[in-house]
Amino acid sequence: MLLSKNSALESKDNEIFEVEESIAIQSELIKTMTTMVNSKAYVNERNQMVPEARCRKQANYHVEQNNKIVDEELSDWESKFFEVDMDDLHELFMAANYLEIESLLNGVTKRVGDFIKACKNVEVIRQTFGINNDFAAQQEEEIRKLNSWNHI
Amino acid sequence: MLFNVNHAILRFMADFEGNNRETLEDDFCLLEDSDLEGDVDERFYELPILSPKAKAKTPVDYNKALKYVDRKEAGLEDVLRDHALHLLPAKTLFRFKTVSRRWDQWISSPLFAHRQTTYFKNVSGLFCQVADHSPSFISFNQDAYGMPDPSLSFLPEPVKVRSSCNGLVCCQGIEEDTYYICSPVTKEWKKLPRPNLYHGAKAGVVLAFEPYLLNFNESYELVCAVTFSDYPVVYFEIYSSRSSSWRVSDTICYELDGSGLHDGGYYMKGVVHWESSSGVILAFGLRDEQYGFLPLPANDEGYGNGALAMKHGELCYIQPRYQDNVCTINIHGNMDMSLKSVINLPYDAGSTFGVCRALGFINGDILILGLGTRVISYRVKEQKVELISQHEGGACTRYIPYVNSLVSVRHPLIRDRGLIV
Repeated sequence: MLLSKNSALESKDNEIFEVEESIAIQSELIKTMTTMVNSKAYVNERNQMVPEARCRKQANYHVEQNNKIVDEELSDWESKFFEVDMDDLHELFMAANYLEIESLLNGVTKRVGDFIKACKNVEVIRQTFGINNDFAAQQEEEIRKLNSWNHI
Repeated sequence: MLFNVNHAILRFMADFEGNNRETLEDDFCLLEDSDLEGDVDERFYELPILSPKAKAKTPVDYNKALKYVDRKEAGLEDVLRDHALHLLPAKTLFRFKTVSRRWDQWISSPLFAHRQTTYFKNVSGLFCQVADHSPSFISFNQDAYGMPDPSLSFLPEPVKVRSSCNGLVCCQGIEEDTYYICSPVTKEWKKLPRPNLYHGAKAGVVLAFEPYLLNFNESYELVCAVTFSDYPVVYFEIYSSRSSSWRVSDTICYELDGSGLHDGGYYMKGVVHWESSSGVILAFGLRDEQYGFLPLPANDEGYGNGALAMKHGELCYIQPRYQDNVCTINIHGNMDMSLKSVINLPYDAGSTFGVCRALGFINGDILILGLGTRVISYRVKEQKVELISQHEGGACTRYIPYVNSLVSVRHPLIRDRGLIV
């Protein structure tokens, strides 16, 4: 097996992850970093500041994903990977967005989308995603009346 | 707004021109930003606009690189709005307008409606109509897919639903024989001018509408296969929203007796298809306006219970078959419409419920079938049957698949907010 170049990524809490470069490059952010900074000069770059938990998840995600070649296996693995509680899902979501990893982002948005679709209550959405209700009571009531076809 | 569009352009090019992706990123980088129109307290990334091909060789460049990385992180809400909301169906989105003022503003904005129309393409249910009665809507998910008024009573006269594509619905007046294009979610509608030829009730009518991310002026075409009772000829008359006018195509089909065209054609990837009782599928390409034929798989039951669909990006034909009172579903594909696979239904559909009709095939995995007066869905991979509707329908019912998008019938940048309820 060919030993590929590894890049070292340092997270915000100073933990260092060794990730195979081909996997690290799936993140648009890291890819940009490596093109901006001459990678020949900095073989083991420390060029990343990301909250630790997310970084680890990314590394795991990529390693696993690249090991699974068969489509069916991948989709099974993916559905298990994304079956986490909402807090973890948030972390993944933020990380995927920050690191700009498209495949991870697609997986997370699908899960989040399914969750929102199944939600019947506005309050649950607010609590889950930490959104403030900045409506005056009357305004909210007005909009709700206009959309009365919507409420089961 | 400007940044948003630039970002959209970049993403669009990256998505649709896969091989150019590397070139784009090698040349320059523009970061995503969460600029929301009209919002004062909006967080935004600090953007160092990078010069092309910045290969750092000095410590100064390295610091620039660090700054790029060190941008402020987006809040969860912003990430949600940028990546998840436009993938949701209209009913869900309308319900959550009351989450916050920003959500209400964003969901009501024409830019978002256009984005959602481009990304959300799931078949959400079936419009269902018997003869000239009012139409109704069979939703595949009552919580998520729906519209204010499924009977389309906001239109000026009683109509027959003829065709639907990516959220736009084409109806034909029962009395006056005029065409309407409407968006059931927004209740906007437009009456089309009179066509050049007389269409009547028998013309095969198919709406072709493909939203593109950068094309804010949603354009669609209504393609009608027009026939005359005494002549074995099919004319193609096309309404284009771009020119707001009808045009009879120079291409005329002399090889087919048009009176046998089934109601309800199928549009896919620039080609309109109609099943004909002469045993062929008439295909009309919109770009070059040429027609061709595909074989229609033979059917013992007479015509009418199969359906065209898309599987893995290719055209296929779903044909329920009976043998010893057991119903199986044959999937035909390729240019010769040969048999590709057979799906066994888990129970004895045919004899118990009467005729089995294929109504659709979603994402190559979910079969929508009409069994007598019932509509069921069957997930092939999980082998799971789900009853969708019990009361509507029968052998004479017309079913038209519909996508729950926020599409606007008017020019999306000129919106009369009063109509969006």
